[in-house]
Amino acid sequence: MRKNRNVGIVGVGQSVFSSHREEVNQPEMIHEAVVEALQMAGITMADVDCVVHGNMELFEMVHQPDLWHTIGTGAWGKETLRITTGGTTGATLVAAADHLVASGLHDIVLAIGFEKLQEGHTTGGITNMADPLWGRQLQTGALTGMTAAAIIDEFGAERARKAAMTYRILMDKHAMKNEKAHRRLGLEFDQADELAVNSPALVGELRMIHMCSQSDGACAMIFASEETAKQLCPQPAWIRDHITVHREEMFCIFGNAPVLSTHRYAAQKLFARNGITDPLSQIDVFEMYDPSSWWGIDWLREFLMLEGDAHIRMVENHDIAIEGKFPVNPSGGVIASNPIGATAMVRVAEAALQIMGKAGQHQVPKPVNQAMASGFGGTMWTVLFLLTRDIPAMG
Amino acid sequence: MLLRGALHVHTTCSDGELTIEQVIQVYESLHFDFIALTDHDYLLRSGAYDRIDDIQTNLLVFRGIELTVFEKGYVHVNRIEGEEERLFVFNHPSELGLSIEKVIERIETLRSRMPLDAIEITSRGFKTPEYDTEDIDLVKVATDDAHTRLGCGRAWIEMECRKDRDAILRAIRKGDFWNCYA
Repeated sequence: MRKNRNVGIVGVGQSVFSSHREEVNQPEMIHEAVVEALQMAGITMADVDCVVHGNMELFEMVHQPDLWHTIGTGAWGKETLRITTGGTTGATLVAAADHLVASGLHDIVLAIGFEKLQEGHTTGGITNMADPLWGRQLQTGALTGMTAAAIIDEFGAERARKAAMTYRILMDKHAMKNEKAHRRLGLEFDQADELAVNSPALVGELRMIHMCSQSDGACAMIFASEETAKQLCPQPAWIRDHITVHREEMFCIFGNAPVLSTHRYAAQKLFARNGITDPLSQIDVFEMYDPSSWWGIDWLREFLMLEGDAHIRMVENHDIAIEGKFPVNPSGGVIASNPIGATAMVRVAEAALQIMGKAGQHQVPKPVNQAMASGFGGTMWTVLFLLTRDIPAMG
Repeated sequence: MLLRGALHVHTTCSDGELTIEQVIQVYESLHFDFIALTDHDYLLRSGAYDRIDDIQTNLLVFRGIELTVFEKGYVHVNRIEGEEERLFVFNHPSELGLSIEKVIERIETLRSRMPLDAIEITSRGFKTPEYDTEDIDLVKVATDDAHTRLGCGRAWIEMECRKDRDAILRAIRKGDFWNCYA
């Protein structure tokens, strides 16, 4: 992507994620994230030129929440932009903030994603996403058993089920290192067989233990132009590139013709224009939007353009563990924390923390020079980011 | 004696944030006399509550479990164990997003599978008064459903009763207690 100027991430803030943040209201919860991001960047609201705000507006049933949230965002008197792209809102927030700075319109932009799902009726909203006829067998809003069925069909039930549970337990082990994560269950590998049977079934092979949470939480990020970022931060996370790909049909597509997924398409384009020929060696950590452990497995194959059972073997060999060859979701991922409007933003925020060396207990134990982060939502909508430790060359 | 008790408490044995020891410490500091540990069935490992008897405490600690029961979707039922007695509580109906009529339907169907004694009229310790109705012929109890330190002590029951597991469960079944809120 040709840019007018480079953009660096200089501040990241996250609230504590939980199923019920009833001790704070929406502005107070957002304020937690904003204060943390400002502190990390070493600036105040007076330095911020523009505030970008986003969530799934209908989930809390609060119209134009950004107006109320001004007392928590600090956006009074600022230029603002509100974003609701539907599922991928958090990633779109990052893309928008990047463009606002890269274009030269603003030098410092604060982006905020949030969701307080406890206060709304998410299921009511999201269930209506699925087509009632085409999706009636296996699709219930965000709950889908089709990927599990496909993986089982391809690799056999025993291997597929074991891989899904291994992925789930690895993500929980990562979440246990992230004190802000919502679900930190302390799972152990010797529980795998028991969980595979006892966890309540949702749709087909998708069980409750596989599925992401419904969380309250907020994320804030501060983006600065190259010149400003260098002044503010000894090691910004530079936004090298990002791509947005989406299509309008739903998950069910007639016939058996192979369909190029938006994930693979996005990865192909992004890798080609950034000289990435071997993502496993050229990318040091991947924060992937993984709504369930079944999708997590499947999407490794798509994003990393793997063939055969390479993605399954990565899970079986624990290559995706925080100390593994190719760490995935050191934060615990979406399965651990899912404040929807913030979720995809958290992926980029966590990738940035890894580049900056500020991920704390879940910092991967190796140099992170290049990180990838993905978002996903609604109509097969993929957003994929590349962040780097070195300042990207201007093309 | 006047007893104060919490009937729905989670620990790190499932998705709670506090260990068994921490939960006991918190409720002791809040001057409770008994608590029921009710971790989720599918996450609760066998033997997880074995160490309760080794913990020095004045609290009477009930062993319980939060059952995930499929009845036109999942409903949660707490099963709390006494010595001889056993109490079944239909949990947080407000979280089902159903009308009172539908909740009553679920209760009626469940009764063929387990002897329901009571229904929570709280959600995470906050009162949900719509379920405090005579249309539901179960004893109404207030609970914390505590998963965090902040969630402890929001709603509880008090009763005049001997500090004895079976006596407490029998008193609850009779409705011989008060619901209390912070």
